Amino acid sequence: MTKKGTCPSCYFEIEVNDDVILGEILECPDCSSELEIIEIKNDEVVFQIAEEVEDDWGE
Amino acid sequence: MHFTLICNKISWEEKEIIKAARKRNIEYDIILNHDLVLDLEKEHFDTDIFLQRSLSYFRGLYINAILENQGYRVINSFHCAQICGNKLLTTLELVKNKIPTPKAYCAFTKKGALEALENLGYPAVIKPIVGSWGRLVALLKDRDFAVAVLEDRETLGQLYHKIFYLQKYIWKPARDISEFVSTRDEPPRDIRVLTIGNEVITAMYRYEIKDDWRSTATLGARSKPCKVTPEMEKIALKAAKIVDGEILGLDLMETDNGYLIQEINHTSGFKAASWTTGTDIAGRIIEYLIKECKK
Repeated sequence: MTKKGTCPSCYFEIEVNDDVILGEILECPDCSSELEIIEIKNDEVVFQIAEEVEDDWGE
Repeated sequence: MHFTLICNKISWEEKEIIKAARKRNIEYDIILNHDLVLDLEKEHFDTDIFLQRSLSYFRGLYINAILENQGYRVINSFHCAQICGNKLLTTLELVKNKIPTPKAYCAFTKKGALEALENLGYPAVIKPIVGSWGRLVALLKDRDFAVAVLEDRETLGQLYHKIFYLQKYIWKPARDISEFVSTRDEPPRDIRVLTIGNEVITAMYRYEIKDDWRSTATLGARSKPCKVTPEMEKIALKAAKIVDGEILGLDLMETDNGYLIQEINHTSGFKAASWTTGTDIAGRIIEYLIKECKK
């Protein structure tokens, strides 16, 4: 089973595995934008452009 | 037991933690910190414990402050994050507790920083007090280079880039002091030690990256398993204790006089350590949360 969503940058339709997790990051296979999964519905996922790394990010 | 994972995004480590929780039928929630709105008087979270893994230092720190103020248990704690997320405060804590650490100075202007560098001697290292993954960490090989870097930071830096944290450069094993090249078959290295509770769970050597002087895993440093010695265990656990650290990644350096603690990471990445040593770190984290919830 897969879920589908649309890249907010290039509108490419992206298929993802059924076990995706909210907050997971992936790269749009068409435009290479880094995307974050912000909503998971039945067979649909919603993406937003992932946050840029800030100066205070790290471990 | 129910725990809540707080993070910026789901990286490899968070996925592993979630997998480990599912395997043990542990209930959890995920909070992505960028969309979080918190009432400073009272929030209601139906959870036993929070696992703070925010990549963003300041978000994580203030979320911890708010949650702990409202009586929630957070791992690692606000106090731990405050110290470990700031290299200057970490050094102060280590020095206060007589734990060996590289000599460091703090200065606020280029003039002051150059004076500190004369005391330290070249080469020396400049680091932002907040930040990670080797970002903006520079090896100052001589005065000219130091002037250039300091002027850049004074002109282009964020507010906290102008608090100059300057550290003595530690000559790593295999480093030729005169040539800055490796004298062994393998590149110079440091050690990452992972602790959970009052136990060292694994350690790995991290080797300097080709054409770089840093050995940061996220920059691509190669790693190998490292046998944990009693001396290593002693210094790592002592350092963990003084910062109230429960789940930590400590960076150790080897010297002729024993180990130094270089840095302590309170939201440590563990992909490289898991792959290198075969240790189920995510599983150990979940087991620790279960144990803490039973207390």
